[in-house]
Amino acid sequence: MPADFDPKDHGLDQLRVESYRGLIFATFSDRTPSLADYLGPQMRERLDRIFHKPITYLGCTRQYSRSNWKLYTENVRDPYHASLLHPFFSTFNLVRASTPCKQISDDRGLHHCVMAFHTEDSSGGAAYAESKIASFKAGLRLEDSSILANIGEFKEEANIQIQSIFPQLVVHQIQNSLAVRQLLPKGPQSFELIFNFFGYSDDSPEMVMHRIKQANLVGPAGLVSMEDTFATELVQSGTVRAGDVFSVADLGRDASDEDNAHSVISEKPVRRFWCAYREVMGLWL
Amino acid sequence: MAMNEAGVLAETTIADIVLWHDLHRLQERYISVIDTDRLEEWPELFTEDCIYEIVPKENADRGLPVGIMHCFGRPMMRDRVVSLRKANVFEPHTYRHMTSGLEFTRIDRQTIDLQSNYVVVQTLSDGESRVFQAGRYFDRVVRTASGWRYQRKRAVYDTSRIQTLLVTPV
Repeated sequence: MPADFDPKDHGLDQLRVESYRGLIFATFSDRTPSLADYLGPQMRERLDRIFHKPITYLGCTRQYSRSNWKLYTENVRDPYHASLLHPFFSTFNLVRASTPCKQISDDRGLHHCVMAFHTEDSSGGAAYAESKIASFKAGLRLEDSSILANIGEFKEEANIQIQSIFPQLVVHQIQNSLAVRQLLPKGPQSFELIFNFFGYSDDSPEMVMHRIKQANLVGPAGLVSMEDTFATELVQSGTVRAGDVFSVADLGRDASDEDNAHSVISEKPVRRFWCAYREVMGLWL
Repeated sequence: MAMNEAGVLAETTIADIVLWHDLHRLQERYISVIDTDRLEEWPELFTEDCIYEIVPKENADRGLPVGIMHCFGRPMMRDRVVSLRKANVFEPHTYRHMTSGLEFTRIDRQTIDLQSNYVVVQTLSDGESRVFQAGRYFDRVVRTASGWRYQRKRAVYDTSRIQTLLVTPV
């Protein structure tokens, strides 16, 4: 090497790294706001609910989809699709279009969180054991409905909290299934979706088993949501050759903010996301 | 010729051959019910209190419990089949299983541990056949009134990612 070569001048890029409640974030940009500001108070409150005590890592699963990663960011901001695309949800009465819900956004519209409150059941599934879940499709019921039990463990009970932090993070609570999903773009045509499952450090052995049982609900073989990556592939193949035309996402456009915040029948979170995305990327028509 | 427990070269007995035959037949029948879409028969190859799991090798190697499918007992296996038939949305496909390297260890007269390799080739509606998953079965089988049945079957897969989704058991 030449005499004036100094390794200090040729190091790797330093990323800005910050963490919140044990979640570690990094950015290449000097202009990204502080992590607390980037998340915003609404999103921090949702993370506080999930990460309220020490966790234990239970393992990961990986799913690969031949579609653009932003189709998945749309997917998690579109609660309307749950009762349509995922028949398991509605058939076994986890979520229906009429389910009471709450839609939460940050001030910019980049991030989003949906909560669903189907039941206050904290009995560990006793109500399910008594076969009170009517089959949505006639004659269909689970022989072992313990897989659907929601054992109360939060101050603010909800069946579902799915929170999407732009660009790559999704944190979910579906009954007692807890996971941090990482969305990894693999070029414009495909992405990998990693589900990192966890429980809490003070879980009983029975609770760990229950979480493993509920790992059946999500991920690549998830009874509830295996269809997501298939659906994004269908959208990809349907839209990739029509880049110069537009689709319409008007559902709930006339509704008040208050109505939109309490209904899953709304595309407002999708519209807000695309507006925020265009702003971040400097894309204006 | 085979080694006995003391490591001495011993004559293969008729009982050894019958056992080998029975265990192969169980494996062949298992593969057949999946690959010919007779999934309603799939739970019948298990004991009532069985455990059936599909777990990525990266978790198994680290002692982490989570996999993509966990059935505790035959009712959960039947629920999987009902969900596949009625409640899940996916592209029609076929599987072809290839297995090799069957090894077994006697636990007692009624219980045997089995291991073997598997490769699943999946054909989707585009007509292309691709390796969907490669892995290894870790099985425990027990002798029942209706023949050998799986008390536990754990498919540990090497393939890092599931392409799109897995709805049909391996």
